[in-house]
Amino acid sequence: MMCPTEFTCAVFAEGELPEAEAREVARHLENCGKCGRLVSAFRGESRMLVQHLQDIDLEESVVVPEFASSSSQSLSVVGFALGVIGLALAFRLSTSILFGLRLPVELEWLNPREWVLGLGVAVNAAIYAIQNADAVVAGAVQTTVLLTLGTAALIGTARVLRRSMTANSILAATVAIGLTSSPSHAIDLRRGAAASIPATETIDDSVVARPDGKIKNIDVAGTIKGDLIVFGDVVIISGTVDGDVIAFARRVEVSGTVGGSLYGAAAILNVSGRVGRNMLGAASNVNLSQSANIGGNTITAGAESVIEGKTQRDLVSAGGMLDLRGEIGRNVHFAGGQLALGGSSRVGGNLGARVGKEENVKIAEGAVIAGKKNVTLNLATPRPSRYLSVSYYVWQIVRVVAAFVTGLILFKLFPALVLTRVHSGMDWLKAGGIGFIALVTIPVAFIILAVTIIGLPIALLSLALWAAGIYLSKIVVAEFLGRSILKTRSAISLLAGLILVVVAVNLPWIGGLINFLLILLGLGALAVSIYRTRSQEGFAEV
Amino acid sequence: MVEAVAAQKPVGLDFELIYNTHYRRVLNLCRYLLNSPDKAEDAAHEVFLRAQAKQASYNHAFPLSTWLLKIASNYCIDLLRRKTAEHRIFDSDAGESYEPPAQGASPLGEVLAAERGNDVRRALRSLTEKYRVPLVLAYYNELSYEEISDILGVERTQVAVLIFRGKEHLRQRLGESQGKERLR
Repeated sequence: MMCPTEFTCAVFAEGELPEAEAREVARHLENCGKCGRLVSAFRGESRMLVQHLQDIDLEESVVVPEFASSSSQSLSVVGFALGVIGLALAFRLSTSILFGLRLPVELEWLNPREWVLGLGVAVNAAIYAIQNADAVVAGAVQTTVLLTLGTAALIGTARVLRRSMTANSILAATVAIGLTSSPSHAIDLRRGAAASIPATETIDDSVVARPDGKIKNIDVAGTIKGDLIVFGDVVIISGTVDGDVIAFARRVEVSGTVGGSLYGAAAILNVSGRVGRNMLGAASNVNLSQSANIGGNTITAGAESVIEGKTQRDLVSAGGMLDLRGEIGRNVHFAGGQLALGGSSRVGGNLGARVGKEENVKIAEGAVIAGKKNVTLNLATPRPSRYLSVSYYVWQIVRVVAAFVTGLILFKLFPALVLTRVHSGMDWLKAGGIGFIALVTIPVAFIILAVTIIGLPIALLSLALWAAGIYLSKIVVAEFLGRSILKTRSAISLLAGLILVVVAVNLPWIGGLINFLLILLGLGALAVSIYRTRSQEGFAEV
Repeated sequence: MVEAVAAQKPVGLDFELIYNTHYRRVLNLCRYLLNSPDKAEDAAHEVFLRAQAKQASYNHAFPLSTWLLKIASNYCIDLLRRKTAEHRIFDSDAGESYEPPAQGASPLGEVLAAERGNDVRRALRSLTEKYRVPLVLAYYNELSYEEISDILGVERTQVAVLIFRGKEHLRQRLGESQGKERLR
């Protein structure tokens, strides 16, 4: 017989050759020393492999973690549910106690649904970007390049920092902010004493002004042809800015002229000058004095807004108190605590107010409202209970079905999104923290991105992803809950989890908060899960 | 009758004890198969959850470890399949003959020094899952070709080819990393 192939010898050595063939090879081996040596070499190799591979079990380095058995797993679902509901209840109760039982209604303006401000920023960002279309293109290209580099750097550090999710989130936020300062056209960076611009000076570019260690107050008395982005303790703009002004400071005073829009975030924001387009103020006190003239809309958010000056278009205000004494060209929308219209106030369009109590809207003698007056009361008046209408239940069913279909597709496409490793309360706490960071930083990054660097396409994309994440996060949590309770993984468990979640978020009084907490947890767990899937290579010594 | 008694009994398995005794071995298998310490930890945990859920299916005629490792293998391979949208990881490639060329590097000697255990494991980890998984099942789990072909869902002959090829690659990696220690 001819010598069998090496392959045949190898299989023979493992004792895996079919019987007849094995007998033949065995007979051959009696006479062929070469093949005999080969077979015994293969046998030796197999023994060596078994020994070396199994040796690892003798190493003591592995710490056996606590076993979360399935009974305690289902307990942790109960714990999870109790935790979420408890947290929501505790929050509602503490706010009720702190502010008196009726006051949470007044805080209703904090509710994202009422967040006219956010909408205003988005609309303004869009308008701004459209008006600066050429710069948008240049900016977008640049941003894309930077974003790619940033992402590469992030992935690189993720590899290095493997487990440090928080560090990465901070890094991501830093990169996002770093990106926003990328100039899409000539920008004059000024600091400290040089940041203040005397009345005699005219700058053709856009200016970014910020304080240094010594000089924290910035005074812009000169003329800036481009935009002005300014940070400081006290920022005074008495000169002329042809473009937009973005000001972050403890106190911002604008007595000069802003050709574009004014975006101010401050503790106190006083405007007595002219703003060509929109005025958007987020401040604890916003004051528009009599001489102020806003060419577009005035949008304010804060504890107290006093509007004495003139606004050509709409006034949109959310916050504790709006004191209107000036002239508004079109409509006034207010949501919050109290609205007072002084005798000198003029509203060219409709007045819409959303407040806690009817008597919180005070309209003095002499105030003129050309259009309709519409006061909507918040939760204070017993609205017909939504639980009594049929359409409400129909919609909830539609919601479950939609989420169910989305969930099926989601888990089919991305099986890795299944949460496997969130068993301890600590894990949930961590997930909640990461979720909070994601929930907060992304819209902030979006606003900065959309307003300043004109990276609108990217901003919109990230906003869309963010919105999708919020929606999907609840599905992921629902899947986890359903699986943990039914102890199987199937479409049924997903459906069960979804029904549970939809019921929970519709509970009276605390449903909204449960919804919010579930979003936080789901978003965080989702982020961790994606992160873990990504960082699976690079296997160090066992 | 015996079956019925056996089926009754597992409900009383001391799972805590089973877990503590077998965790390390299950974890190591998952590490070998998945090539990721993090994923392996998750997988090991999931394996014990599954084992606990289907205690009733455990046949006392076989060692507990065999049963646990089988659950672990199936679960990990399932994970690998899910990760690579391509479900047929272990199928033969086009042009891959069952009868490989005979002039591969020769078998590694049994006397390969014990301190090379780390090298062997490192070389194993550097292999693609296509070869790594069958080798782990054959030499860490000590399963027969028949059992491996069951788990991987491929022909027995394909298992033989994968293991033969896998060892060839292993020798190559070991040869690259260090001077050649050959038996003949």
